[in-house]
Amino acid sequence: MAGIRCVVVKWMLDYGFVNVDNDGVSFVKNVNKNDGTQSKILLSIYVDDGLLACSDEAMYKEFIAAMSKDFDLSDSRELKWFLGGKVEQDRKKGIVRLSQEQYCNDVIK
Amino acid sequence: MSDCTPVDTPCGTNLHLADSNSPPLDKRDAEVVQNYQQLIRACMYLTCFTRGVGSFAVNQCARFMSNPGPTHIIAAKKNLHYLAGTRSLGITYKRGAMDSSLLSVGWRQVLISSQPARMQITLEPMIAGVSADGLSCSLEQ
Repeated sequence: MAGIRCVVVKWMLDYGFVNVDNDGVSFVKNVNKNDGTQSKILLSIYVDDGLLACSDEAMYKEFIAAMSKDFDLSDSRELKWFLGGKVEQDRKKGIVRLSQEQYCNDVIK
Repeated sequence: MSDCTPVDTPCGTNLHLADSNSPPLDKRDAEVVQNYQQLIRACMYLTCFTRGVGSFAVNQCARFMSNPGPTHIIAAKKNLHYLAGTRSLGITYKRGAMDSSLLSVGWRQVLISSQPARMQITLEPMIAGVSADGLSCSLEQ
């Protein structure tokens, strides 16, 4: 597993990401566009699971396409569940809500 | 436990668990210990993900993972009663300036005396809210 991780981390750095922690988990890539604005991809990856946030749809597609060439990817689009926690998002209102109701129910059982 | 009585706080006031409540080492029941450890594990996961209010109570219970006594098990179950009463709570992150309507009420542990023998811990209502870079965070239904 450690081998896979090294390969992924090397791939990320080659693609232009900067590792923002020292653990090879969180990566950021900033791209300055022609119109002066900046796009950003944030990525947290651990072994074979990851979260990705991107401010630009085209950039997101480009990244997924590039990564699919070298790795088997499954893209589950909008984040709904992560590590047993439910994630609800309302992009228009800018709200993200984390809850663990299902996990609580399982624990109480 | 799914139809247990819900409560609003993860532990009572003056929670003070001691190892004098643990059974003698040669009398501990491996099954009880394992169940206790599994319960604390699950509670710890909840407290570090979305349900931080229970941190103190779970921390106190976690001190007796290797040899829990009846008092410790009751304290851990109390946390389950709290979860049962508040299972739909979550953390909401909202874009924009912090909104006072989002402020939530939590609990704060206040150490009354620093002498271990008379250590007394009470829970006080507290207004909690986190704001960083225009992001606000709250515990709400």
